Amino acid sequence: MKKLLFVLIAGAALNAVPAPALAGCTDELAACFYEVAQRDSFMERWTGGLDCELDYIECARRKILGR
Amino acid sequence: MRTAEDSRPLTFRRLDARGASSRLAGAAVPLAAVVLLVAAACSAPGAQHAGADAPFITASETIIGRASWDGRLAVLTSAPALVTIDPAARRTERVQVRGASRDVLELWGLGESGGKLYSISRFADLVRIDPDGRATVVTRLSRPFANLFDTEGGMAGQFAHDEAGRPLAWTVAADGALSPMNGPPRAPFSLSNAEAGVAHLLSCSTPPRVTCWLPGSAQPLSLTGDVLRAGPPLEGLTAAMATWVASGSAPQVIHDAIADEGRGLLVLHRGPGASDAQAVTLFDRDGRVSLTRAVPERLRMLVSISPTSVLAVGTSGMLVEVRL
Repeated sequence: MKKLLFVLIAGAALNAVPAPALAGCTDELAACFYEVAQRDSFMERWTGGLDCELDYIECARRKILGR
Repeated sequence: MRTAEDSRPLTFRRLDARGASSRLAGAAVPLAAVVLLVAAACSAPGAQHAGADAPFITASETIIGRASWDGRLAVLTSAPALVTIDPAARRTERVQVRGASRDVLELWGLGESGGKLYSISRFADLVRIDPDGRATVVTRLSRPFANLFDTEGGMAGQFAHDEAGRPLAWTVAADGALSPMNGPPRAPFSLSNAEAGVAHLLSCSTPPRVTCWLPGSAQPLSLTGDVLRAGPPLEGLTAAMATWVASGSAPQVIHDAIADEGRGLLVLHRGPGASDAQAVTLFDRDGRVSLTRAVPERLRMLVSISPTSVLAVGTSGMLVEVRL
């Protein structure tokens, strides 16, 4: 049940339709959240979710701020 | 500060095509070959010098940080490599950045403090980059940082995540100490934490007269001391919602900017319409257009401005001069 809840929350966080410029970043974020949601402990899912978000920022900032 | 000792054993000078052919055309070929062999044996690995006619940033690299340093512009690329540009001499120098350990990876941002260059590694570590490209972790920051940029007084950075109403940026000391900058706070976006973090990432020009802008914004912020102040909206530029830019639905409006003390702000921006074209426009202090010029090739960043021209880095990876 907790895993399902986490997947739903992650899905809600990704409610925006991925646009072409950042579609790769958003796809990776969704895949990362899905993988993290399979983990057993709450702490692992929580820290894994934070890592997913940092990975997204890493990807998106290169595309938006990188020159 | 770069010293003469730093560059002594590690550097070689790239010959331009004309110089090389004239030297090799004469009877001095054997001597030249010996000199080149000895120079090559003594130089690697080390810095590469190039004039304005040689690419110093490859097409596959992304520029991920820049700072004013020792009278030059220092640029960090995703290679990672540290490129220094001397605008007056139109001369560049490039060194590969390598970690003292495997921990120094995934760099982002560049700042200068006390004559030394710093970047952020893996959102967590403040890393010092020496002139020879050696990168060393200085300290672990108290929270994940997503950005680091150069200011007149030192360095500033931004948290990867934070709550609405909290400071947009923080000054970062060389020992990792933080203090909040004054200015507009973080906005309450209806986005995921990750997207909200991206929507607040500042792009900034280098000192002196630092100018910053948010994703999609057409209203630059001037950074003086530890205060970010909103300037006038720029005439003729239409802002895109930061949320659109953060989610990839809209491109950046301001691609780069450089302040000119006497005339205002020179901005490299998206051209009119849906095309991929760019233009440079000089705006006066009230944000009104003084002049606009097309650019000869797509530009990555602005380097310096003079009364008659602006020096930039083109997508060719070389210096490009745009007449004003």
